[in-house]
Amino acid sequence: MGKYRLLLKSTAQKQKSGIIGIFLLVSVLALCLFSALTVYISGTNSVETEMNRLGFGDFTIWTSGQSEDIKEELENIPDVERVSYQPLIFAGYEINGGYSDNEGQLIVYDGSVDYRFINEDGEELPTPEIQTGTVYISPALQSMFDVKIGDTIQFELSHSNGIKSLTVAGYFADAFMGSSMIDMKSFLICAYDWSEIQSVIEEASIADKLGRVGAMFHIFKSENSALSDLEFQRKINESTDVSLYTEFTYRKDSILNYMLLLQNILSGFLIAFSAVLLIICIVITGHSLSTVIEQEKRDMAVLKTMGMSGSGLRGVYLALYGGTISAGLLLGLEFSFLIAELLAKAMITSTGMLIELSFPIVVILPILLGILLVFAAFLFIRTARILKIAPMQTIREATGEKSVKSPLSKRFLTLGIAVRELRSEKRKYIALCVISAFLALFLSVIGKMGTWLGPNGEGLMNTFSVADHDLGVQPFNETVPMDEIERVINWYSPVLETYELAMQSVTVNGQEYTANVLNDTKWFHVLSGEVCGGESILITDTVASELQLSIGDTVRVAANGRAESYTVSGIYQCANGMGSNIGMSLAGYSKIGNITGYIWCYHYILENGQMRDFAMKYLQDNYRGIDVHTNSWSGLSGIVFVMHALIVVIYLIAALFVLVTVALTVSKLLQSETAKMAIYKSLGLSSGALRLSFALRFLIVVFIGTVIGLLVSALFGDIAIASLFKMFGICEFGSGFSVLGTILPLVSVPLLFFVFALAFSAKLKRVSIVKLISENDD
Amino acid sequence: MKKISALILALTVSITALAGCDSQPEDPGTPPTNILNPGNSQSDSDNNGNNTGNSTNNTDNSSDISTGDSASKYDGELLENAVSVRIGNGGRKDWYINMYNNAASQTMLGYLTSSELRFPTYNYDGEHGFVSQSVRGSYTRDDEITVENAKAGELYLLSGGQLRFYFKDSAGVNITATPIGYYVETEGLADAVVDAYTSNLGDTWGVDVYFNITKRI
Repeated sequence: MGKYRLLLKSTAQKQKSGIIGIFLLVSVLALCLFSALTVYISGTNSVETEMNRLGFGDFTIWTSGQSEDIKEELENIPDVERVSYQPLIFAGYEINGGYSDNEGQLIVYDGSVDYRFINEDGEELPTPEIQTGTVYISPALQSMFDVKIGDTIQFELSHSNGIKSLTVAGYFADAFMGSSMIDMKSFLICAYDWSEIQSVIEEASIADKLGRVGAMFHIFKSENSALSDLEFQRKINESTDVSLYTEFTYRKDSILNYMLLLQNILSGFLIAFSAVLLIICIVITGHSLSTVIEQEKRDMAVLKTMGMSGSGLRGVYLALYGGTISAGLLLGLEFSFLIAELLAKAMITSTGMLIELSFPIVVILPILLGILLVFAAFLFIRTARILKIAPMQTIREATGEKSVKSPLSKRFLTLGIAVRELRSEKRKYIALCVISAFLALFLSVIGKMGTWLGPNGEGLMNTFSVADHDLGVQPFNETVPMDEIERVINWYSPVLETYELAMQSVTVNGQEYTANVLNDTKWFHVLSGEVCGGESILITDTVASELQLSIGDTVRVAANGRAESYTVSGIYQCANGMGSNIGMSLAGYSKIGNITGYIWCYHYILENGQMRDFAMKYLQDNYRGIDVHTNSWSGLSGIVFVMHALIVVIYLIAALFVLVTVALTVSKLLQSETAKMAIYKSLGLSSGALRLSFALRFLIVVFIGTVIGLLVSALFGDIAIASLFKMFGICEFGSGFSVLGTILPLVSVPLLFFVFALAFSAKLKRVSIVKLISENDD
Repeated sequence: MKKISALILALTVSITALAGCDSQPEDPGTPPTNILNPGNSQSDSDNNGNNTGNSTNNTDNSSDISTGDSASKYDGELLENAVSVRIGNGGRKDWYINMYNNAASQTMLGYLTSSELRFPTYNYDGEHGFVSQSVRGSYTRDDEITVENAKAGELYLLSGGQLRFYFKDSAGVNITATPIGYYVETEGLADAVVDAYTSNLGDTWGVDVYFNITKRI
């Protein structure tokens, strides 16, 4: 046993650089994977626990204009266990010159719902007594409006002197709408301010009102109920009058998805990237091990003649590499919680609350063991060669040189030598080809998504929007001078096209959705079938899947106490509400909805879309009774930032992997080619030319691998991305040639390998010809 | 060699960093006064009930306003049988309307399709014999005339985007409005409107009369 221990120590010393390289790669892999898993699982648990603690229920209905009476109606339904009622006031607001795209909801804090009050870092504070004139907000508003404690928020309650100013006194963890991905925000105020606000609204005339009273009804399904969530929701809508007052309804899992959207995108990508890194680690380990065994073959043969067994020798290498990998995984695991903590803290202003991290041992342990098993099996298979080393034959064997017929031209000598070496030692470079193919594939897929997203999130917005537009203006009463507003918009930029959109709550076969009603249906993004008419509707893939509908089916659409039958004419794209929406024409909606109300938003497509922010600012500053927005939403900048940051981080990690891969490979190659290099030098080739030739081998092989990776991306990338996007209600994805998706991986991956190979081959310069010749084993 | 390596590496990083760069447009300032107030006065709008805040362009063409007894004397190209209307929720008869080919009519036609649109009206005036309702769209006042007497079946667009439909002959109305069109057939029209109004009393939306409109051209 002692001799094997000694052998292990000496082998570790000899292969130090390779061992360190593999250790580093596996550590980064573990760090990436386990921190992403921790954030993902802890985030989901944390937010869901908080939602349950605050009493969200199985789903929540937001209503307006209705008092607590409807609670009894809801509770009378047998499948309902209980209903909790939370009154609120809807009101638009302005913070630091920025106007909200959506109304906020003012909630009186009376202790009935046990909100947690937190500081900027998400740490819990003692429950304060909310003072008159103050308000507590979600930390997410910091990223949306750059607001801090001490700033003032102006709530718009009525046209005439109906502004309520409240000073920000602190933050609270809002598990219902705290995320920056959700436009609507909650504000906690004291009872006195609540009464005052209520009075202002009640005293305002219908034309004067801006704010309105409403409520959240949190519905809890009975444990004994046999209804699915959809059936339960349908029963609620069909058995009560709540749909007459419904603003919108969200199930618990929908809100959870919204709250965790950003972190799920981040962790999802990191986990996917970790899978690619795992493959790369396996390839590098295999390549390194094979090269080492090849190099140490003679020594092993000698050791065998001295009495060491093949299995003993194999055990040494299994222990060495297995130990390195295990140590790397454990180190990565150790630090992953720290990284997860940093990520959680960084996402407070996105999630709106500090995620309570806990090590998901139930998930991580099996994955860790699985990875170890994969590596163990791989190492076991790769070290099988050691058993086959026949001592005497190996010792007697000349280090055979393969002869390659590869004429060299004086003009392209450097390139010719590179090609010659590649042809003679093809097997040594396969690993590089595979690694570069995987890297290029992943970088291309990420690049495609980045390109689709656009520098300002246009791609995402066009998918989430009902229809393309630059600016939207919704008047809320007849005093709004739309003619003047349109002249103003035209002044900023000529209007190319205009249409009107209303987004109204309806039920489809008893299930609540948002109906996107357009006065001109040509603007719908129809994916299949036909656009809707007066007797038909469009549905999304999400709705089709939820209600098991296809084109041609008849559905019952109800709203405002009326119901009509419609035919499903087609499938369209609109990811709004994670795809929970339908499309209707003006004629179609007129059968169940009052089309003369102030439900219409005028959308404008400008000749110069870049002017939209200026126009929006002017309109918000100078006109009351309107809502103005661009084709954007509060959470968009967060997603765009995360996506761009992700691309940079992934490229950096890829560069690190390339660095370690090249370091390992160059070291092994140079060790085995010292004699050849000596011969080339003796023929008159300079160190520079040899280094260039050496690096060119990497460039050629990696270029081939990169092209393969890009081809696979071109063939299957869109399909993979489309299936991922379906989770977010995005039904269609298509990409083409782009800088991020094609050019950047094509250029950067081979260049990185080339540059690092050039750098690491510097040791060629330092060694003299005499020493090179004397290092020739023959 | 070192310099070349550094240059190539820097180039690779730069392409990544610059991929998202975009130039910011210059702030054009605020619109001048002539955009906000082009110098025209607004006529008083006769808005009742649910208005939609529709706009009218403030081009003052009062010198072009012609005077006429009724729209039937209006000199404009006619879009014959442009739309058909069923009056009231229970209405079965298709009443056809000839529309004048002016900007206001064209704007209204833009909202209609070959699918029937249920148009609710909230302003039934039995005494003066008209039904009115604000309509969607941006309308000019270029084609306005002064109408002294209105005939049964005529439609006018008043300023503020209010569409008025006279179902009875009304003398002395004295309105300034854009002629939209007229019902081809007027016999029984008043009875149909009154019946539709009477049968709709108690409507949960508070609607006075429903008109179900289909574009025919």
